[in-house]
Amino acid sequence: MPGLFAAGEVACGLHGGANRLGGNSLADILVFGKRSGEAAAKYASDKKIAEIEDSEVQEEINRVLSYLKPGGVNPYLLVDELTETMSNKVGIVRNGPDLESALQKILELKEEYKKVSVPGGRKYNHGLFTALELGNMLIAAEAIVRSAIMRTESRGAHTRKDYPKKDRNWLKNIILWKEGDTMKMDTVPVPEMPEELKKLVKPEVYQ
Amino acid sequence: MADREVTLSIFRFDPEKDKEGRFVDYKVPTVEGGMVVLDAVRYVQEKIDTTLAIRWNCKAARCGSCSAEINNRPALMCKTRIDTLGDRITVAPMRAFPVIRDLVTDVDENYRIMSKIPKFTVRKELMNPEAEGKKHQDVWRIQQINVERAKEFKKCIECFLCQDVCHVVREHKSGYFGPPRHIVKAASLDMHPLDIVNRAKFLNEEGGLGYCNITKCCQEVCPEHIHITDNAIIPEKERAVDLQYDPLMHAIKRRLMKKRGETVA
Ligand SMILES: Cc1cc2nc3c(=O)[nH]c(=O)nc-3n(C[C@H](O)[C@H](O)[C@H](O)COP(=O)(O)OP(=O)(O)OC[C@H]3O[C@@H](n4cnc5c(N)ncnc54)[C@H](O)[C@@H]3O)c2cc1C
Ligand code: SF4
Ligand code: SF4
Ligand code: FES
Repeated sequence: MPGLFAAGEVACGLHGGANRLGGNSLADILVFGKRSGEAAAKYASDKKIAEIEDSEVQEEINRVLSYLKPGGVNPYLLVDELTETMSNKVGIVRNGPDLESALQKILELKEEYKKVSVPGGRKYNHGLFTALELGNMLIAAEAIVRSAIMRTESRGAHTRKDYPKKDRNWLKNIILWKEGDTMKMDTVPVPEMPEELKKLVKPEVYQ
Repeated sequence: MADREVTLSIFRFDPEKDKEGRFVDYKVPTVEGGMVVLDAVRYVQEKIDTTLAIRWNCKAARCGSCSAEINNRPALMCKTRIDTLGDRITVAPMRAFPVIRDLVTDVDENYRIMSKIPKFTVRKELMNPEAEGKKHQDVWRIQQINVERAKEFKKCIECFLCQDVCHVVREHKSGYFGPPRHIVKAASLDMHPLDIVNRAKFLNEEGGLGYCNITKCCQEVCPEHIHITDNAIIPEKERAVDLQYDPLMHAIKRRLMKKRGETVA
């Protein structure tokens, strides 16, 4: 997407892959923060601020406010269920059947989510924040679980009891995108590690 | 597993709708070990009334956002254990700041004040030591004892509980900005050996340093156990006296400062 610059946590750990090593994030935000900041400034220097259609703004306001009505399903209860599912079934050591049942649960919660609404007004209404966040949490959870099911190997922080070994055929990244109401997924190969870097690390790192 | 039940008496107030706030009682089951007031308040928010406004983030006493008055004592909700309190617990917002809604207060003023404190300033040579034939790491090196001194003040998590408890902040609304947190900030800069600005006069004239009568209440509620009064306020008061009121020290101090290239903010 032109004009979108990201660094740090939101850029999904560019250097770490499936791992999340202590201390790496600090280096990540410093290096990529500088790079993306400078690039963003350069990019923005000869661009005008994009126009946003009023109707688009209104649409978003309506979407947010649509959660404000009493009598709906309490979003906190669904957050609790989602948290429990992810903690119990999509933890550090994973396996196919648990992941499948977690996916089922998430799809059920997505249906329940359609009934979520909260009482109160716009000001500091944490219930409203939670209703909004829950939608994003469900998307993230679904993406995590679908990817974990697809990746039939163990690598970095992704450990599968039913596929305990690292698999060279899985030197790939999983990408997901939205198509209508469904989540599509595919893999793209990761670039081969440059020779000079290969010399610095053990072969199992890039194999 | 539910252990015992406590009654949480929470302050509810929406300035746009209500003439005044009121305390509402909620029954909350507690669990043994580790449960904190924030857990209980969140239980109310999640299970009883989702419109209850609270502000919190880390639940680890690090972000400084869950400040409140628990049984009338300024404290972090996430650091106050239920098992240290009785069966009836009152939770109110910080009274020194305007209420946005329920337990959430508007602490913006603190950031406006903070931006007025003269910033960290070093001698020009330090910005470009290579031009003087010196190494960067040599001119910027400071002694461990000075690191330790600043470290205490840097622990501040900006919970503003010290501001909340201070009678000066609560009672003198004279545009003066109130000692504790801001003096901790200023002191952390003033005590840095490479900084060349003296902020004591500024604190005295604009910050109302003199209003503080060293009751040490701020120090007592600080969740980071910063010795606010002993290590920040009193030394700044002494500096202000040296600089502004003691004729002999005034002369010596000004001369010393001139020699060191220091300025008075
Ligand atoms: C408990 C814990 C311990 C950690 N320990 C270490 C460690 O020891 N070493 C290490 O290297 N890494 C550590 N990490 C990881 C590291 O802290 C993070 O990866 C890093 O801070 C992320 O920085 P960031 O700038 O990418 O994102 P963040 O610091 O999360 O910044 C995101 C910012 O965006 C703002 N924001 C969000 N939404 C909006 C919006 N809609 N509009 C405007 N602003 C918005 C947020 O308020 C926030 O300020 C730790 C993380 C955690 C949680
Ligand atoms: S010691 Fe001073 S700053 Fe601290 S609470 Fe007392 S009067 Fe306020
Ligand atoms: S000095 Fe202590 S009490 Fe005051 S804002 Fe900082 S951490 Fe909080
Ligand atoms: S929630 Fe962060 S300090 Fe209490």
